[in-house]
Amino acid sequence: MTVLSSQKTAHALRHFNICGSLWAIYGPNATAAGAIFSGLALIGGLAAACFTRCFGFIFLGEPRNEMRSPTLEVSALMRWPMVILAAACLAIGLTSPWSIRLTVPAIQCLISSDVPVEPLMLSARMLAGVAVVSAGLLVLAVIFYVIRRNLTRGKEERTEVTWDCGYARPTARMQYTASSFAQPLLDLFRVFLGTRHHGVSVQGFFPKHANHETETPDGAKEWLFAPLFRGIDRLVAPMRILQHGRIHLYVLYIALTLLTLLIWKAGFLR
Amino acid sequence: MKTISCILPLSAWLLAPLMLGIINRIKAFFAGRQGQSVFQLYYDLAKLLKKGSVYSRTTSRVFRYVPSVVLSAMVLATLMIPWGGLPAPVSFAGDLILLAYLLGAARFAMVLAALDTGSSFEGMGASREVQFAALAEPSLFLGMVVLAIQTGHGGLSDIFASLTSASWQSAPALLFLVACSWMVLLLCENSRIPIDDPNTHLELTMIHEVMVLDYGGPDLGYMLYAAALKLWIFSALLVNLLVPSQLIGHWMQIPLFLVGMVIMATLVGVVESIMARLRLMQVPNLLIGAGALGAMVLILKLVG
Repeated sequence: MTVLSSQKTAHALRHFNICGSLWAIYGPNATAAGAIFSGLALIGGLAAACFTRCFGFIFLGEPRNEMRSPTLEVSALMRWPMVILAAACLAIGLTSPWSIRLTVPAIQCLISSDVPVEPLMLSARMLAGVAVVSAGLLVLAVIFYVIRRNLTRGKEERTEVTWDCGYARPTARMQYTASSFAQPLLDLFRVFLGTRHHGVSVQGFFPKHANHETETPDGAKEWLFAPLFRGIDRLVAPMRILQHGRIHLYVLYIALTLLTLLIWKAGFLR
Repeated sequence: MKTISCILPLSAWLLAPLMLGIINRIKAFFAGRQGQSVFQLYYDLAKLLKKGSVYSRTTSRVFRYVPSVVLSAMVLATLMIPWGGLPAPVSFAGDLILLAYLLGAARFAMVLAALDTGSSFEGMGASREVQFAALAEPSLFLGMVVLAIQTGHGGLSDIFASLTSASWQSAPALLFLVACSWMVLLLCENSRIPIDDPNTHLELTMIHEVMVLDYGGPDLGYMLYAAALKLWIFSALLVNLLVPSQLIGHWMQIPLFLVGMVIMATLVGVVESIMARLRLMQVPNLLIGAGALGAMVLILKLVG
């Protein structure tokens, strides 16, 4: 159930919310924003890859490692909030035109009155089409599933091993890993990622030992935030003198601050 | 007008498997074989729907739901495709984005099903599918944007209704380049040569076909039919672009479109017969090339 609701959430996020919000972004001014448009289309494709990787490798296929303790389903109190959140995602997606209309008065309060909200109302009207088709997708999928169940009613339904061509004894270790799944896409962006490879490659006809490890550094952390925060740290390090742990001196700071404020305020009053 | 519009999806649902039959016949002709009947897919579908089913022990319920989701996404997408100068039953400004996302939702479901089997082959196919799809999606969008700017409309039905022979006279190069970019997209999205080989028997080299390896019986029938509808959708987009409406009388546009679809199937068959498959590593280059073509057309349109 948890898996199912997560899948619903992933699907709802992917299809309804993203579709809804992307339409709001691409919107009626698509003609003016061609470059952004194609960039977002690529991001849409990458998002699909991300969601499938995330959901597929956590929830689907064989367990990837031996659990030390048996897995237990969590209590209903932990499951239902997820179901409610998933349902809320779906509801926002399906009612997006009405949700936008509801937010318009609030937006009007925040922005100046000379900014027209008409484009927003226009996208709400367009989102109505998206919402209807999305609802249609859900209904149609259920109908097709029911038809499909009826087609095999009374017929044999067997369970076998997964298609095992070339493998006499397939094991869970032969499954595709998340990093292999992402590798073709990551290779396209290798200039930005700086993935490091270590290991010993296969040598000779009967290799005894081979291993391969990849490590992708967090670019934003290593090249942007770490140097930035180090710089800030160096800049503000002298201020640490003020932080010494003696409470009576802290009280003195407070007194001095109050005194300064008092003099400042009194000066202004005069 | 609305009632007659319902003919569009109905004929798409009926005729879509025929396109694959035509492609196979063309391939057989080039190979000097008699070839299977053009109705072979209809027979296959009828046979598959009567069968029982076999599931992998590894799979969960996700695997069982996916064929219905994929088929419903494709069926809904056909409702949005206009042709023969008639508006589609489902049409509104911005429906082109929804069309792309319906196709995306089907792909998303199919990738999940492939990962659910735990097979390394299917994982490999899924990985390739998401990579190629991410690269192919911008071509579709860029082409759509160019057409939207060219015609001044934001909906598929309006765009294709306003594409006339005059548009081809005023901007032949732009529309031709969009058509080229979409042709690559058609071959990629429908797993045709030179990107993928639908008849291949080597799981290691497959993309789409390997993802549905573990389906059998009615589920496989659903998947095959959904694939036929997808081919119809992409071919219809191209034929709509290449055969301008209002060229001849309204009643002649529907037969003209159907002839266009047959020619499109023939073209795909010819490409498959005379070309070898690209090396897998070169496929991204082709797709990026198609995307770059789309971007170039858009820049030309915005500048010019």
